[in-house]
Amino acid sequence: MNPDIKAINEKIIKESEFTEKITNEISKVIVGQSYMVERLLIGLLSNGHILLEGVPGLAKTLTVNTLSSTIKTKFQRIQFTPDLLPADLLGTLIFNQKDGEFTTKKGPIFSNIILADEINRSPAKVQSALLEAMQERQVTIGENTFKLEDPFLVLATQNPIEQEGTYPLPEAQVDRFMLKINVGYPSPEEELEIIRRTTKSNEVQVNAVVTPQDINKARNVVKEVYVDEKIEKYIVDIVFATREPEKYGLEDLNELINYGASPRASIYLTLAAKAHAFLQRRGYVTPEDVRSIGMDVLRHRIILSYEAEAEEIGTEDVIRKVLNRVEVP
Amino acid sequence: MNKQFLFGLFLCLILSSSIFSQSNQDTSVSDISLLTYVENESVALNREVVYIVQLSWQGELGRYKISDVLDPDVTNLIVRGSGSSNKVITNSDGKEISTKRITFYFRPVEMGMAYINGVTIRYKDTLLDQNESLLAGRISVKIIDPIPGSSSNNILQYVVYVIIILVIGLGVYLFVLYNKRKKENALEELENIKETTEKKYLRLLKETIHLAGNNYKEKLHDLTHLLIGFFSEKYSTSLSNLSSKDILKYIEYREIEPKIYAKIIEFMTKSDLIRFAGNTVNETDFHQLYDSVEWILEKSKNDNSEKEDE
Repeated sequence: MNPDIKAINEKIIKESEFTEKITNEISKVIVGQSYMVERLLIGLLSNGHILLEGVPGLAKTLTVNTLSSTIKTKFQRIQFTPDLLPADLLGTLIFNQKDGEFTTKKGPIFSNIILADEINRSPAKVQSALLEAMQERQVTIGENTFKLEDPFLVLATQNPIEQEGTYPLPEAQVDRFMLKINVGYPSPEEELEIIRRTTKSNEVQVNAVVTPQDINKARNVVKEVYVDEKIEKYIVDIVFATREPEKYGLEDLNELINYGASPRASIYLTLAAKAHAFLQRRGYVTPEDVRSIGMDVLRHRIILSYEAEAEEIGTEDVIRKVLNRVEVP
Repeated sequence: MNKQFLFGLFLCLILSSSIFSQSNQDTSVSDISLLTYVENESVALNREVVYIVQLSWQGELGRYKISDVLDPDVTNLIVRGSGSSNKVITNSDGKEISTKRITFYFRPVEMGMAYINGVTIRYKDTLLDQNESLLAGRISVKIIDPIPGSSSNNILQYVVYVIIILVIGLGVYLFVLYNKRKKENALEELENIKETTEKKYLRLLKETIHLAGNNYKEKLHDLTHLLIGFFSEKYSTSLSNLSSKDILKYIEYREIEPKIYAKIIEFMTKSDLIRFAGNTVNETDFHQLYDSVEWILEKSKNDNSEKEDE
């Protein structure tokens, strides 16, 4: 099969225009953080939920807020607190005394973009309710099942430094996030710009520059991005190297990894690589796309052993080793 | 026996000199006396004959001023050199005795008898302001067979010293030469390795990538990996696990001729399109890509040689 790369490229050029508009609108508010913005777009384009992790004050929430402002769609911010209940999130049945019937009161999850702020502050039952909805893209209230709106994107944030009063997400549930992004500090130049922008009185107006239809069209083009068999094999090799490191000459990782990445990692790695290629205005995936997105896809899918913890080896170290070892096609 | 003989000779000489001197000098006017003698009556052919002329008088050293000492007239001897020394002593009577000693050194010519026919000493009596002269008598010396002695030992010693110095010098020279050669060899080896990398990959290109046949996509894969392998070996790093973009970024920071770098970019871009974008590759395309790799390897080789020449 010879894909028509030229045609795909043309489609990409046509359908990817909005990505630049979104980036420009976000940059009106957010200084730097281009890496995070690019990953958010990848999530948006490949219909994958994103977990943002970083210390407070790195504009995680602001970025997601701004992103949602650029899309003509419904946005809900849910502040996760210890007393939050699943019904507060999903909705509930309310008895109408007048009619003598139960009516459904839909929760804030019935929106297009959900900002689950500080997701690890709520207990497991709430997290579970959200994560189930994320996976199934439907919610059952009473006897009725409701399909969630499309696009449906959950952008969750969590703070890695505070452990008191938090409920860390179980590994199986974290796995449902397509990307886990570690948000880093801005550079000194960026920080100077942040000071200048935030200490002035003028308010910046962020415009909605894209519709859900545009996003759906772009998503369809992303699906068309060509992935060669060699790239598919490369993705599988990377994922397998986390499960059976010794087969890839990574015997030293054997003791460090308890559980390797799941098949969901392969799926998301392929999808994210396609979205990355789309953002590069390229109709085919190269190993570069896989490598550049690999860390964010695999970071939360590998469970390390106590030995790794004792040796202060993190998942990022392991992934780096894997990416540097698995032969690029 | 030799000592006794010498002592006897010494006495004779003193007596003869005194007599001779007396016969030639007016002692009432001047009490200068002349004594001449040889250190050894018989001297080996390989030794020196030492002939001593000693003038002594009562009174101050400055009383007599030696104006001229002519070289002795000799037979079977060659003058090698001479030297003089002065000495003033006070005898038991409390009188000053001044002595002037002139030593001649002769080298024997051949075995047999040698003669010192006498020496004329001209001097001036500063007190009386008179010029006088003294003539020493004839002395014979027997020149005997050469014997190993200190002089030959000295020569031998000198020879040994010279040999040692020469050996040390030679050793130092050889050491310096060895180090220089070692450095040259190391450089040569390095050059060979460098040269081998390009040559090796040119050879591998010809041996492993065949232009004939089909399945050009697979061949292009091998061709690309051969080029990546070449750069890995050239820069002593593993580039096989990097994407084309990273490889190009890595090469960009090396000292590489822009033309070669541009060709590498062209090749990698085309290769990526064929390998990952599902583009087809026909025989002509493959030949062009093959030529590109060959050109890159050849040019890298020349580029290396030029840098080395510089």
